[in-house]
Amino acid sequence: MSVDLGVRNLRWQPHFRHSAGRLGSHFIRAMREGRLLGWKTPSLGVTAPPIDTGEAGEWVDIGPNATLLACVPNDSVTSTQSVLAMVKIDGADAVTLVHVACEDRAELLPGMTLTARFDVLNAASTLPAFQVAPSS
Amino acid sequence: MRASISGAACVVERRIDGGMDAVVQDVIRRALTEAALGVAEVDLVITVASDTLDGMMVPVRSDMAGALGKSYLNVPSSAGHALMAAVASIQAGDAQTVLLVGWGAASKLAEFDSRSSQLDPFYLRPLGASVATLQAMQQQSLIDQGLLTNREIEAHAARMSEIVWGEAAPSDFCDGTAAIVLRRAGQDDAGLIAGSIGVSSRPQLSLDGNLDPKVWVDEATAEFETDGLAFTEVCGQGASVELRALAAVPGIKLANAHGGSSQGWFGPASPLRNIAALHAAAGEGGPQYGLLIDLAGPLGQHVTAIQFSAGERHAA
Repeated sequence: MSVDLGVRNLRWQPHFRHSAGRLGSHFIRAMREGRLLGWKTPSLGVTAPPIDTGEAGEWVDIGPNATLLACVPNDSVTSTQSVLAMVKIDGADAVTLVHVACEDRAELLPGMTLTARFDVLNAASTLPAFQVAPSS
Repeated sequence: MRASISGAACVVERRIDGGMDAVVQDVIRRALTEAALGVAEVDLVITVASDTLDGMMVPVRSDMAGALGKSYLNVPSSAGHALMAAVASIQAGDAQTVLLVGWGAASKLAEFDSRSSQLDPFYLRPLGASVATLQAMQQQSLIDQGLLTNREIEAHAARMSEIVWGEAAPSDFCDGTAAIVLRRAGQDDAGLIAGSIGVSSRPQLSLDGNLDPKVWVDEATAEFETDGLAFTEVCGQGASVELRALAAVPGIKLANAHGGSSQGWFGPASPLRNIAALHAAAGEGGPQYGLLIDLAGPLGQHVTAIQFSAGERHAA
């Protein structure tokens, strides 16, 4: 992406509105109440957001802390939530991609503890952003 | 029945201006000429296209690949999958001669990469990760784990660039096209013969968090005999994924010596260029027993591994 090349760098933000389904709706409602839930199945273990394997499963509380596995500046986002990170939420078996709110990416190191920051007032939110845990 | 490569040609340029039609047709003509075949003798045409780059237009314009009036298949995932389909159609007796064609104008992505991923379309989380973002995270993860160094990545990219462009000037994208003619292998075939094929695929984000292509290549080649390989060609979208894929194949004599791979990436059809280069080298008495590994997807997470051996005439 370069202005020098004369490229019109436009960004479209389409508006989507549809059902998140049975599992997804339950997960999102809980998240907007400040709880992180994982969906536990025999084949995948605990996943968040929930992955429907077709098997019977159960909801388990997970987080709010998570371990940072990898991160990188996200060139598609221009807010302070500018870091895309792969994290392992405490209690989950599968990894999750999230945004991390931080001013200086240099402070983010693999293995450090992050904590969920719930935005309960944002009706569009489907997953919390994360930030460096106070104790890290 | 086995499938052998009897003709191949390719063109790669930093940028091809004025449309691809003439270039694609010229490459097909050269491949068919080498195979001593006319387009009328082709039973099946297979094109390679990605649904994020040119997957809509390639099938629409398949007539320029010679598909008009013939059995036609578009494979919208990878060159490896398309080659697998071509080989399977010959092995199954559905076709005797297959023309495999792919092209792409990826140079436009250097200015603005329109490929982005919501990563989770079901929940529509607006992560908006671009391909470059995902690749950077993967590369950083591999470096953090001590599996690669920046110096190794730069050296590999420079070597690939030398092969493609004749100079160490790494670039991400270019334009290109390649055509491969496959036939039912006969007694006097000299061309490379496709043997075992292994595949492995992961979602955009591997659930176990492991972004190392070596693991996926290990899966795809688990049943292969890799001792004594004369060559291994790996083609992915980045130097780091190619290096990790090569780490999965021990004892390689010639690693990525022909195709140039990531430094000549013009879209998902790019590994066809490696096949064309291997075919040319084999015809000049080069190595004829080896492995091609296609690492499709932004992280190289869709692996196709194909073993090649020499035709009867050369093997004798």
